[in-house]
Amino acid sequence: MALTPDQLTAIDRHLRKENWLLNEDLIAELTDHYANGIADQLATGVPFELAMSDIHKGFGGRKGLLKMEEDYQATQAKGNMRLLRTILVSYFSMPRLGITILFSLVIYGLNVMFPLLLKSDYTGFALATIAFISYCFAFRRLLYWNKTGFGRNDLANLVLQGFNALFLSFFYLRLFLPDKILLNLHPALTTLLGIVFFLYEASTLELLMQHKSNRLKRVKS
Amino acid sequence: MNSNQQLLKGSLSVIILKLLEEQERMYGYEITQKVKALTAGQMAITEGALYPALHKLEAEGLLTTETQVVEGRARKYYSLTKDGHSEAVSRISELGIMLENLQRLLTLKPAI
Repeated sequence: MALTPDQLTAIDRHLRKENWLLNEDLIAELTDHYANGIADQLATGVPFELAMSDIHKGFGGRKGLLKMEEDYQATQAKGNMRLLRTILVSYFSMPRLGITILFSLVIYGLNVMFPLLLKSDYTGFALATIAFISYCFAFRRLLYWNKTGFGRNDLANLVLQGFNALFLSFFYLRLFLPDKILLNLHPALTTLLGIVFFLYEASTLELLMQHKSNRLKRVKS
Repeated sequence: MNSNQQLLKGSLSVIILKLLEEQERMYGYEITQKVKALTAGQMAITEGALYPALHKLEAEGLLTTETQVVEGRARKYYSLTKDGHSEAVSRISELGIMLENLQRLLTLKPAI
């Protein structure tokens, strides 16, 4: 028996307003569970409110639901860290090792040939554009995390973000260093900074894309 | 919580892995109904135990998820990853051995 839009709204209100859940992914999963359970009970003649209360008890009431949300966010954060590690490691084994080597060689070569490349107007403009786009993505990512509770309040995630911000600051600070100091920096150092930056950004982006594609794959049902 | 439920909770992850080995992908409610049907209602998985177990297995990399829109709402399907398949075999075997030993202990004849 399919539920009416009013009944689906009642389930949503029950989860958000009456039980204080915030995590969008968990709410979506539980809404489906409630809807299936209630539909089955309605088919046997049980009233809607009684069916919803019965399922609510199965979750351990509000206390159980809130504990589940807390645990969900903790396990999600752990899972994301594990996935991020796996992606990062993949850049040091075939076939992705090829990308890492090629990228390192390109950065090293550019630094040897043009030590002041990063300070040129064209490169500066290109870097500023890339930085602007990446910060737009980062802002969207933060909004998304805040909305879904993806890694919210997770210390490891905060540390990683902090590390990335610190690293970016060091990377861009080079643009403002005097030429004399810049020319004395070994190209290997710049290459190392560049490759760490590239691997971290590429891995984070891949992780987010995977997360997004898993969230919703619409099908004609 | 009765003793039946306590035993069930201890082996919940193995039950989930086994069911997903039999059926390629399942969603939460489907798992609860399948267990109920297979045990003729003798065993019932509570929602409060099922979802944390599913989320933990997902975080461990043993399950992967895919969300689809069914009847206008999002439905999250779980399926085994490559690691999940090998872990399922190992955990089912471990539980089997434990049950055999338990059976031996329970049918132990008193010494004369």
